[in-house]
Amino acid sequence: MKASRGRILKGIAGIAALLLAWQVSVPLVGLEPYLYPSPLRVWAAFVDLMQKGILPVYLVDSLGRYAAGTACGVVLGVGLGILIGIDATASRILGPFISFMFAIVEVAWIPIFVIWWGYGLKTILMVIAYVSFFPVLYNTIVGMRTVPAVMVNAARSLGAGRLEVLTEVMIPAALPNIITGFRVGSGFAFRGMIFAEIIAAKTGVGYLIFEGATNQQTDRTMVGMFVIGLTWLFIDHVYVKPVEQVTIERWRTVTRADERE
Amino acid sequence: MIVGPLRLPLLVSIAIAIFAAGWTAWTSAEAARKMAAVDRTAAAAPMADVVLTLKFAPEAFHMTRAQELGQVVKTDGRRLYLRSADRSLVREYARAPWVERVDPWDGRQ
Repeated sequence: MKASRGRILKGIAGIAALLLAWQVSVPLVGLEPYLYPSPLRVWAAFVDLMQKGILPVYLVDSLGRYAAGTACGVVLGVGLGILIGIDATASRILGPFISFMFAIVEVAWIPIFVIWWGYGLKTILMVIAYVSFFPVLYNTIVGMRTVPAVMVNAARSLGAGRLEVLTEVMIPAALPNIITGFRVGSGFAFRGMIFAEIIAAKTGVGYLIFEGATNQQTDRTMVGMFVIGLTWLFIDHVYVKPVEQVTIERWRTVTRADERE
Repeated sequence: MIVGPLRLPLLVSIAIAIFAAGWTAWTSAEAARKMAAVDRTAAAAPMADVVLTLKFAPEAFHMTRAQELGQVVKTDGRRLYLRSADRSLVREYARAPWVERVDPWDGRQ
C-alpha cells in the first residue's frame, strides 16, 4: 500500500516538474503563444472549451463513434479469427487477402471511404473498425492455434462434439489472446478515430485538434491532445485492464505452440 | 456482490450513469424554465420566432447548431435571432448551460 502510494506520489511529482519546466521555458523561448503556448494558457483554453460546451459535446461524439467502431472491429476480428484459426481451408483462402489488407494503413483508406460514404459517421466508423480489426484478428488466430492439443483430445475422448470443443475448450483457452488483441486493437482504434475525425468530421476531439491548428489556436489543439491521452488512460485503466485481468485469471490455459503434441 | 477487478468498472459505470441521469434531469428543468416565455406566447405553434441569448459571443460550434433549429436571421453580440425555429429543437438547444435565456421575437429586424 505504502509502495503503491509512493509510486503515485513520484508520478505526480514527475508530471508537476515537467509542467513547471514547460511553464518556465515559455518566456525563455520567446515564441508567440500560437506557436508555443504555456501550460497555463492550455488550461485556460480547456476551461473555456468546457464553459462553452464545445469539449463535452465533442468528447461524447468521439466516444460514441469509438465504442461503435471498436465493437464492429472486435466482433469481425474475433469471428474471422476463430474461423481462420480452426479451419485450414478458410486460412488458405482468407490469409493472403488479410495480409494484403493489413499492409494498407487506414489513412490510405480514408479518401476512398469519403468517396463511397461521404464525410461523416459511416466513414469514421469504417476507419475505427478497420484499425481495431487486425490486432483482434491476429491475436484470435494465435489464441486458437495455440490451444494445447491434449485439451482438445481430452474433450473429444469425453464425448464432446465439434461445437462443444469449440465453445467449451478452444474459445475459452484463446480468451487471454483475444483480450490482448482487444486491448491493442482498442488502443489503435483511438488513433484511427483521430485520423478519421481530422479528415471526415465536423465534430469530435480529432476535429478540435485540426480546427485549433487551422485557426492558430494551438492551445486548443493541445487541449485536444491531452484529452485524448487522458481519456485513453481512463478507458484502459478502468475498463480494459480489469477485464483483461479477470480473463487471464479465469482462463490462463494457453501454452506455447512448441508444447503442443 | 462483485469483488475483484470488475468492482472498479462497475462502480465507475454506476457513477457515470447517476451523473448522466442527474445532468439530464437538471438540464430538462433548466430548458423548461428558459422556454417558459416562448411557450406562453406560442403554445400551440410548432414553429416560433425566438431570440437565443448565450453567455458569450457564439462561435462556429454554436452557430452551426443554431442553424439546425431554424433560420438564423442575424446575430447581435451574444444574441441569435431565429425565424421559424422548431420549438422542440429549441428546447433541446436550451438545455445547454451556456444558453442564458430564450425569448420570443416579434420578427422585426
